[in-house]
Amino acid sequence: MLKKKAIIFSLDAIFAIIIAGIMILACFFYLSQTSTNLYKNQDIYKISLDSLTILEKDNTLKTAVETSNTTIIQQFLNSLSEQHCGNITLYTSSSAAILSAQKTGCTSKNESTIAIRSFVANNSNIYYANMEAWYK
Amino acid sequence: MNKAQIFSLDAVIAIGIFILILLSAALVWNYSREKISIEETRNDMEIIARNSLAVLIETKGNPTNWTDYDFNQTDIYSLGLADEFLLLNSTKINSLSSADYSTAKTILGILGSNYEFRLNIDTWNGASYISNYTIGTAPNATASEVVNIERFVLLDDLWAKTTMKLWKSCEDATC
Repeated sequence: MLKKKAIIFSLDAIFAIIIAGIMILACFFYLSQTSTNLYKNQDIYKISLDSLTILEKDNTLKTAVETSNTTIIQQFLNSLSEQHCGNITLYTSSSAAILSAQKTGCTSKNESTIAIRSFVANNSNIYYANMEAWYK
Repeated sequence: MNKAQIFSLDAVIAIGIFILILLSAALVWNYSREKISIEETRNDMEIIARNSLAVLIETKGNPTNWTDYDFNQTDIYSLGLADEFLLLNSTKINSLSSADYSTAKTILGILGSNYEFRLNIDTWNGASYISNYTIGTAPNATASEVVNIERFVLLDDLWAKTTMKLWKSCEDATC
């Protein structure tokens, strides 16, 4: 009688184990992905809107236009939290940019949000303040 | 006479793989259920923190002269620290500061299990923001989640930064 040696594990079984292992690892890898903050764009937009609102209400924007000086706006931008960046540009009603200031140390932009607020200066002339904000 | 097989090696391997997949599915199920629960809690806290800070700094409260009333849920429907949008009133801030913390939490809608809050109002002194008012309880070592929301306001004509910290206290192991 011819003695034949058999394979302990068939190839099918080995492939099944490998595929099952890959699927399980893929599930864990996918599930371990952390989700980013869903509200971060909303937060940075609120920062822009709030900033323009308080700068308009305390007449900082009006003073900047009338004195052609962005020192106080620059000071405000530099006081933003470390993770926030922003720039403020002032426009006339005919969309001509007249003044601009950006937080020191902020250069590259990722996703940014823009808020616009109108204000009055120079004998009831209308101007617009545009604030672009982003995360460092 | 032929002998039949009850178990073949292939069947044993197949059963083994099947059990392995079932166990893995149970582990993955448990893991994803826990992760979803944590994310839902976090989202809930984010929404509550944003809404409560918005009500405080954007509105006058209801009634607008709530500082004249007894501090309870029957007489006060909502709390607002503002005279107008983003312009805060220091009298209202002082009233909230000295009011009962649990009642304030309820009126603000911070009702989740073990949710606590801390509101900081820092004012600009020309060079930096300095702490001016603190209301509520700071996160302690047992805090499992802390949500931080920051917004700008005006207080007594000064730039001010309001920070709402909403956190979940975990005093027991069930957290």
